[in-house]
Amino acid sequence: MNCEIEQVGGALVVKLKGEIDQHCAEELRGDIDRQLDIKHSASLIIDLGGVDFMDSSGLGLIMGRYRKMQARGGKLLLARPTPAVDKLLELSGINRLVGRERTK
Amino acid sequence: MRNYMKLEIPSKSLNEAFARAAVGAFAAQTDPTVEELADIKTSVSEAVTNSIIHGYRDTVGVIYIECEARVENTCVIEITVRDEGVGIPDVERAMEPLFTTAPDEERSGMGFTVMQSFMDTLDVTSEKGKGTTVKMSKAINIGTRDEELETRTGLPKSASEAHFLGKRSQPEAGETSLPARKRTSVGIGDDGC
Repeated sequence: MNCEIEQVGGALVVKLKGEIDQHCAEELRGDIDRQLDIKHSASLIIDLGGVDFMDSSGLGLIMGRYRKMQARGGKLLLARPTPAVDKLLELSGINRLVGRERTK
Repeated sequence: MRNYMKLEIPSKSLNEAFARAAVGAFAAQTDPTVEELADIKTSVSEAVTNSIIHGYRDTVGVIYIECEARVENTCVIEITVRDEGVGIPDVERAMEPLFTTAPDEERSGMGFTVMQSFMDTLDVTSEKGKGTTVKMSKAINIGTRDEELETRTGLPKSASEAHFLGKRSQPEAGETSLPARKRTSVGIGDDGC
């Protein structure tokens, strides 16, 4: 799993590549939360375009970041999920809660 | 036609990727679609993760994985993931969507829901202190694709079974070989067998 994080305007953009499972979810969570706390970003964009595999550990990661952004009055957006990842997002109901970033 | 494999791995999280890749490689012999293969790999990942984080929570134990593929008109992949961990006190409750025993660890509580949705059958048996067995199966509809291939190529339906068995018959003079098909992401070799 590879994770690139950069601040673009008021948004923290997290580009994920590889496979998201329980093995890497905790480290990812730490990396993202640290940057959110440092940058005080108003929104968080998670770019899933490079994710070839994700299981429910990834759902936990996304749900956790959604709650975190809600608690601080910010918002979470997801970008470019692959069909397999989108199937999981749809099943979990996350697609009804979290907006989609379409410009990436 | 029947094929099978057995695997034993220690309950370490780095083995989640190995387990789903191994089962995916086995399942790829049946020439599943990309979506079918993704469903199988995701379900295996969920079952193995459950054994690691719940079954063997404070220790390292052994996870036993068995796969069987049976081919008749359709191909059925049956997968069993078993641990000898702490067991699940209330299986029915554990299978409810969003139920988790570790909300502070950001578990989604969707593991069993994913398995139920992505596989055709799911059976979970568990006994406190003795472990948990998850059995699941999925049909890979070779028959339907054989008909599509027959229409397109004029080759007999048995060609797909030959593909599954790994037979490499050479086409007779004037006969058309199977067309290149979109390969799934995990293949054992160029011919998938």
